[in-house]
Amino acid sequence: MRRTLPLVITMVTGAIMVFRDLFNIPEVAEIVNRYLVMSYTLSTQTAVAIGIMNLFKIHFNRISRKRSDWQFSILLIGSACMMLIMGFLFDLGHNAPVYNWWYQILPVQLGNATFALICFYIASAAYRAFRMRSIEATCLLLSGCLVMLGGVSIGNAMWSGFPEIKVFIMNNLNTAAVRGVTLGITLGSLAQYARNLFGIERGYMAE
Amino acid sequence: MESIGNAIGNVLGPNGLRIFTNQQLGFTSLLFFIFYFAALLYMIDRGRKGLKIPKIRRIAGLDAIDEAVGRATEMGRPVSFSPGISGFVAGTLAAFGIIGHVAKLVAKFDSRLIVCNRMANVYPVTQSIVRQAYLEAGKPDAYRDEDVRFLTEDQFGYAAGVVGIIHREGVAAQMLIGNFYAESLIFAEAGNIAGAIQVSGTDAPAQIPFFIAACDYCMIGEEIYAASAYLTQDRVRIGTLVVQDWSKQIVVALIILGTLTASYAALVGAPSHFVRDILRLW
Repeated sequence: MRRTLPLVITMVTGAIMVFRDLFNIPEVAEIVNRYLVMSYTLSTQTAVAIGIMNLFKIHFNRISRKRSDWQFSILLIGSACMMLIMGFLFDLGHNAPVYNWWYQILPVQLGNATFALICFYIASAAYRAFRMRSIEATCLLLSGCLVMLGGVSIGNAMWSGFPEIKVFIMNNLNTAAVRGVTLGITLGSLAQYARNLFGIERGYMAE
Repeated sequence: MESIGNAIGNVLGPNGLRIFTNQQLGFTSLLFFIFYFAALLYMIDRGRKGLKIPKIRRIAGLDAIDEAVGRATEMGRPVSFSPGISGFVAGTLAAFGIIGHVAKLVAKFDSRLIVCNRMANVYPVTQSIVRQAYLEAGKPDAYRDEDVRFLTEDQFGYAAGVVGIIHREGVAAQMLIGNFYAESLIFAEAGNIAGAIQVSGTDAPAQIPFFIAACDYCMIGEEIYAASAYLTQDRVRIGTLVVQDWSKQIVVALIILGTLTASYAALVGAPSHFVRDILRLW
């Protein structure tokens, strides 16, 4: 039963979703959107509660055992509790102005700062990728330089042909390669879903 | 030449074959879908009956997993695994098959595996996969609940958390397999700075170049979907990969045929061409 029930649920719900997407029956779509999507949201929110318990457990352990940087765990638990309490306390919940203000000045800004790190990482990764170790790497270096020169105004000032070369590389060579990869991914993901739907692959059941 | 799509549409009435939904899937899509699933069932049947199934080619990224775990064991440092940042999409489902394999290896070698989850609904699944793998390896006591972690559902909060773990725990091997977005390069470069051997694979086309540039081994796109078939050598699963290849051949043939007929149509000044008409049957 423990093994069969999840398989049956997967197959039935999967088949319903496929039916909804293939056939144009508004009544079916409405029922699916109302009940299945709602049950998905409900199960996800339950999982969030389990996840938060895991997070708190790990950090309470760190604090109680005074592991390295345990002070940051206090900060994390304190901030999480503060946002949680504010969400419950104010009438508008997570739409309350005070909640939003805290959200905007802390998580959003910290997220932006982390995102901004990417520009430095692109430079260091590009440095390694663009080293002329082989013919392929040399082609990559040349095409990369041409695309970069075509994308910045100084390139256009140097020679008006750079933007045209960039457009050619991106629209023809790059697009052709990306579409090939995308085609494989689309067909592969269809097979992946089918394997899960038919119960051939049961990784999600820890099998 | 009257378009074939219009001709069939006229026969079937004003709605023609438009039995499809908001996603604008055409009749051709249904035909393809039927072919795909029929072929899939045929190959599953062949696999189960023990009939001949083609062999699967070597995938360097999957072979490198053993090497990466071995290296981490020798160095006495942990292995980290990220199943991507999406929910139950194909990439994450593929990652589930790989986590189990990595966890079994880690348990066998008495090493340590840290799995960082972004999606709360993925976390209980990875937790049970890792626990089961330790159990199957005969080392249930070695499993530590706190090594499979839920960090946050915020994308860059998760990225910052993973980078912190990579540096604090000093991971010797990092596996990044699943569906990634902008954080892919942050993880890969952090792993590189920590000196970890990195095996990556993603089905997000925009992130593949980052992984290729920054990781030691990279599985490109659909290779991650072949992981469970490759690792288990299960005949039925390999059979489904064959269907994937057949479909790809059909699509490539249609692309070539479409290019030729479109070029011919352009050459003679015809408003339509045969392949487009066929594909537009809805």
